[in-house]
Formats: sequence, C-alpha cells, structure tokens
Amino acid sequence: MADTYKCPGCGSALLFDAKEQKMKCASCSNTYEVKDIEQYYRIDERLASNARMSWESPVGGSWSEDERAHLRAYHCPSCGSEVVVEDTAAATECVYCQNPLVMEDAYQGEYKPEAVIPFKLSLEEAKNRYAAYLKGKKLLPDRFAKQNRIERITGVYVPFWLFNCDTDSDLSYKCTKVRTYRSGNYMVTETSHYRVMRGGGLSFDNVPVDGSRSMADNLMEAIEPFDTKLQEDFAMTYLSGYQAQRHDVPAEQCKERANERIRTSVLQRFRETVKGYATVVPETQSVRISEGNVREVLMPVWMLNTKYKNKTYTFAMNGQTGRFIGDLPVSFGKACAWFFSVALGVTAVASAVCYFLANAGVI
Amino acid sequence: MKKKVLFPVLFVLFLALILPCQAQQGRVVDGAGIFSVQQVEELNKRIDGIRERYGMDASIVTITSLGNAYSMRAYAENFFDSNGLGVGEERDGVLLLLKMTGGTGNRDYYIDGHGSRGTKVERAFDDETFLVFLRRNAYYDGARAFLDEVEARAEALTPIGRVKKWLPAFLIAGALIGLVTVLILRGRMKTAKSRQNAADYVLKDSFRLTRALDMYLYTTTTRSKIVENNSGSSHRSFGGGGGGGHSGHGGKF
Repeated sequence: MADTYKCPGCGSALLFDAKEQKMKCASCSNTYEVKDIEQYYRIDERLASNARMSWESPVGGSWSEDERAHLRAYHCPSCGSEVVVEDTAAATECVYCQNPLVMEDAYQGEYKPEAVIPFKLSLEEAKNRYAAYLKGKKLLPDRFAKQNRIERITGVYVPFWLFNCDTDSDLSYKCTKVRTYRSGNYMVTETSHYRVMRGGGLSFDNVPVDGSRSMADNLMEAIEPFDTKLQEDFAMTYLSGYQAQRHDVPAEQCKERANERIRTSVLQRFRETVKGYATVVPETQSVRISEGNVREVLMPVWMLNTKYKNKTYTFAMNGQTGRFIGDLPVSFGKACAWFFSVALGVTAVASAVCYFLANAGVI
Repeated sequence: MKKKVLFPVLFVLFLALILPCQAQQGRVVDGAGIFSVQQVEELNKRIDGIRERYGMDASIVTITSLGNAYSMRAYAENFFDSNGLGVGEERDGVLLLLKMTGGTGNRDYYIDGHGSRGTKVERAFDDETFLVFLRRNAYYDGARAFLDEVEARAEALTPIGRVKKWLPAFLIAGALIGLVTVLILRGRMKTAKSRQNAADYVLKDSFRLTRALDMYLYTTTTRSKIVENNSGSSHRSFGGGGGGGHSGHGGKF
C-alpha cells in the first residue's frame, strides 16, 4: 500500500520539513504538526477501509522469481502510475510525477522501527556542506572542482540497530619496569617483571550498526555519531519527501560488528589503568558482553553522488549533525607539484639559514 | 779558453747560491731541497690563490734537522709565529713541516694549524691524501695534494661550503617533509573511514574497576662494560685558547 500524505487544505503532497520539523504543503505552504497529520490520516483510513484496494500483490505476471522476491509494485495515488521499488524501500517518490510515496506496509511486523531521528538539515544545507567540503582540498583535480555537479542527492532514512549492553571483563598483562644505573665500569640494567590483572565493568548505550546492505558500512560509521536523545517515536509521516529503507541485515548479523567495537573500547579503557611500566604486553583478554537490548532506529542521511572520469563518487552527510564524509579523487599532478614545492622550499630555506649562520660565524 | 769554461761554471755556482734564497721567499721553504725552483713557484702561486679566495694561509716547510727545536711541534709553531704567517685577525693558517731524514717510514711530518679556522682545517685534515705521494717520494705531488686538502677544508668552512656540506641532508629532509605533506593532504581527501571503537557510546560514569592486582614476579639483571672514549690521538696536541692558538698533529711517513 503506497500512500501520499496530502494537504488537508489544498490536496497537494505534504513533505516533512527538516527546518520547521513539521509537515509542510509543497503547494500552499501550510504547515501541520506530525502528530496531527498522523491522527488525521488514521480517521481517514478508518472511514475508507472498506473501499480501499489492496496493492500488496504484485501487478502483472511477467516478473521472474528473483524479481518477485526483491521488487514490489505500487500505484501512485496521485497520478495512478505503477511504481516498482525494491522490497526494502519504505519511502520514495513517483518517478513520473515526483509525488512522495510512503509504503505503509514496509514497516509491518518485525520491520517496524522503534524510533526515528528526523532530518534536521535540509537539502540546501546538504548542497552547501558539499561545496564547503570541497573547499581547501589541495589535491582535488581542477576539473572535478569546476564541474561541482551533483548527479543525485537523496535524503534517506537508514535503518540502524542500536545496541545497549553491559560488559564484564578480566584482563592480564605482562609488564616490566626498568632501572639503569652505573656500578664501577659497568652499566647495570635491572628489569623487574610483573603480572598485572584488571577486571571490572563498562556499559555502552546505543552503539549503532547500519542494518542496510546497500549502504557502505564505512560511510555510515564515518558520519557517526547521531544524538539518539533527539529521537522520536516512529511515525510514517516523518518519511514523506525522503527515501527510506527497511532493514535487510538482521540484528543478529550486526551484533558481531557491535561486539568488535565494544571490545576494542573495553580493552583501551582498561589499558589506561595500567600505568608506571616500561613495557606492557596484553596476555589474556576476556570481555564478556551481557545481553542487552537491541532497538531499530531510522537515522537521517543525505546521500550525494557525482561522477568524474566514469567513476561514481558517493558522499554521505549526517542529516542531524551535518558531518560530511566521502572520498575525493586525487590529482597526481597536484600531488607531485606539492611534493616538489615543499621539498625544494624546505631545502632553500634550510640552505639560506645555514648560509646566514655560517656567515655570522655561529656555525 | 779557461775564461770561456770558467764563466758558465761561475754562473751556475751563482745560480746555485741564489736559487735557495729565492726558495726561502714565499710560503714554501724548501730547506731539504726536494722541490725544483719551478715547483716552488707553482706551489707559491697556489698558496697565494688560497690566501686570496679563502683568507687562509698555507705553508710548506722542508728541513733536514730540527736545529735548536726540541720537537717537530715546537719547530712548526715557532716557524709559523716568527715568520708572521697567517691571514686576518686570528692569523688563520696551516703549515706542513717535513723532516726529510731517516728514510721511508722514519721521516717526520707535522701539520700545524693557527687561528680558529686554521685549527678547524688542521683537525679535519685527512693526512693520507698527501702521505701516499710522500711515501713514494713524489714530493711535488704530495705538496699539491696537501694544498688540495687545505683548499677543500677551507672551502668547507665558507658559508657556501657549509651549505654544500649540508645540502644532501637538507634535500632528504625536504623530501621527507614533502612526502608527509602530500600524505596529510591525501588523508584529507579520504574521510570515509570505519570507526575502530565505540568510545562515543560509553555510558557516562559506567566504568567500574573492581579487580586490580600488580604482581611482582622476578628481576633480571644485565651488565655492560662502559667503554671510555679515548679516541683523542696521542700525537695530536691543541694549544692556545679563544681560537688564537696552535693545534697540530703529525707522524711518520
């Protein structure tokens, strides 16, 4: 079932406005509270429930089994066109009339997220951050900078699993203290060996791991952190005007990555308590992660794509904090120019200083 | 007829008396007679050039006996001072004294340096550059090699010489700094990096260190003999202070 939230005033599409944190009509600019629109549509749904058509079955019979398994077809309520989307898509726009579509059935059952962090930063802000990100990049090819053409920019709600847990750890280290002193004609080095043990607990709150296969893990981790204190209870209305995905990597699979990061933090924290030794070599490292809870939260991410020399460059921006991440192409010519400029510059300055000091009789 | 024979003989004797006197002039004093007149002139020209270019005096003195001097050092220092050698306020200069008696392997040489720069040149001297020639009795080549060495060491003391000496190090340092700069700039182009830990998500005040034990096990001891630095050569001596004195070293060839 694909829905478009329409303005109760004029009937045009309503979009979630990141700046005002309200639903805004694209046509008459009326704004509505998210909860009011939710309520409005619940009443509307109840009244129209008997007359509704079910769109859950795929339309047409020519899809292969594989396609059937990964694609879904919806009818745009605005223009009536058939829109085919991946089965993980929860919100998109009609490819024909650009009407925002929210697939209400996408988040049913196990797929329903607990919360959503709404977009705080708008499309314009994302474009500005991209332009700012390119500034000061000394090795950026001139052609790339001049083009500065974003092929595609999309606001996506990405499903993240948030892990809360307590840890209990026991760690041991082989340590040494070294004392060196002179005894007659000999230098004596005394090395005292110790076994150091540490144990205790450390708790973690909302360690995120993205639950979408299509999102690059390094990009999603690089734009962290999100402020989960600003999360809202999940409501479909937040998705209007954005793309949204439901998870296709279960929490069980993401647990491994969360554990890995948690374990590294635990080891680093306990290592800080081992002080006063010349050498510290970790021995046994037992980190027990007690079962905490896992929640699914949709996080706001702006995804930008641009092409340069037939290669697609993807950038991500945290839709809440504005943290901008992405790999840029490196100009070999500029890298060489910088290398030789710095190398020769340093040589020239050092030579001049040497000449000056020698002339002054200092060296 | 006798007059005809006598005249050239007398002329040759006259030249023989005059030439050593000419050799005494300039910075090359060939008391042992190992250089020809022309060679002495060439060497003196070389020394004049060194004096002019580097403000550094050079002198080559050959003798067959020390006379009243009790050592090569005393003879060299006395010769340097009494003949007013040296250039500039500090009278910078280097003197090579060769005592040509005793046969190969038993002949003495001594290099005296004066003034702060003369001392530096003397201390940096690579004796083998000219001793290889002297041992083969190629005295003129040895003297030229000595002056080459003086010139090279004096050149190294000039501002340009200092820069030349350090230039390879400056180039390497420049290349390293250039490389680090490029790597830093390249790092700014690649920001999509995974997080290594979950430090941002540690619950505030949740760290509890409930078990801590530092257990002493044993001690190992190693001893290494201290090698005193006795590298100062026994035949090197440094005199004077404040850059105005003599320094020198010598040996046999």
